[in-house]
Amino acid sequence: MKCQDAEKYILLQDSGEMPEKRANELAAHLHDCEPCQEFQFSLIESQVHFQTLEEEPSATAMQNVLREARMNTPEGRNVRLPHFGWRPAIGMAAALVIGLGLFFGQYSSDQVAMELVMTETQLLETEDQVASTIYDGFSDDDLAFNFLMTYEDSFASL
Amino acid sequence: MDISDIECINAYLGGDRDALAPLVEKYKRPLYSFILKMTEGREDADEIFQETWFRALKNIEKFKHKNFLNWLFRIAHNLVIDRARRRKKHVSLQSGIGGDEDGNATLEDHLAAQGITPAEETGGTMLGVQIEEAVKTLSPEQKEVFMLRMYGNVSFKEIAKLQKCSINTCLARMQYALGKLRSILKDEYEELQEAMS
Repeated sequence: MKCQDAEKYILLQDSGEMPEKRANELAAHLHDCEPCQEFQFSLIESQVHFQTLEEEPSATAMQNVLREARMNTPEGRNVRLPHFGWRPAIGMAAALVIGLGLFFGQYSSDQVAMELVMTETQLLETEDQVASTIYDGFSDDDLAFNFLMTYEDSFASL
Repeated sequence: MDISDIECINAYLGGDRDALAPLVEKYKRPLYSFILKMTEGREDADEIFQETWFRALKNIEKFKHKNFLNWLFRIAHNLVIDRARRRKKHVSLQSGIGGDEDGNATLEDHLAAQGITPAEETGGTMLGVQIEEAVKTLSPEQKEVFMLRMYGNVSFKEIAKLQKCSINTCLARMQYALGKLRSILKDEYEELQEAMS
């Protein structure tokens, strides 16, 4: 292995990208080659030094970034829900509720009964319509009692 | 990608406003250090650091990379290039390197990072200062490969994608950068090596 190639493999080994089959070859070269050992040493030494030289952004820059992050939160719009299953089901349920509502609204028994009552009432004479409205819902006993009370004096005079 | 990175991103996408704070904290040093070395001082670096995160936040729903820090480096790389292009227009070509009698900015002024380095701030080692000086002599591409390896542990494959070149070109740039550092810091490295052996 040439030194030029060995240096490349030293770099690739450091980044974890070296092909495994080259490992032994590189190790053998490094064992005997002083310049390549120095190259490897300078790489390691640089890493140590640069890690100690790391710097931080200003407090203002950090605050700005954190504030922007808070302000631009996606607000849960990306929560991983099974959209494909729920959306059509919700649509179908809504359509079913509307359909049932229309059906029972149009053909409900209360409404039919109301229509019959109205029709019977309308068939009567005007005066009878008033009486029908007043006495509607009274039982036969109630009506008999009411009749007796109305004509009580007339019966007494007889 | 780191499991905790995925958890943080998913929590943020789920509406947790503070979920990204640990990631900002975790990556602030490598990202900022890289930007600082590639720009013209702390003011510029702060601006690009913020802009990198703003863009990341804007596009976080589209994030599909394996490595979040690599993605941040990629955004920062594009921003540094954009800024350098804009700056280039403002630098007088006639002024050249080394001076301008009218006191305008020269090309030299725009290349090296200004301000006090951390090594100088802490009254740190001579070696630290010398490394800083040596890095300034590298070309932007060599410097970028070197910094991405030093600060981000970015793979050569990723760097090649970022710089739109072959892995071999990236390796050659790194070899050159290390070679240059070795030649400048030869005495210091020899002393260290002797001390360790």
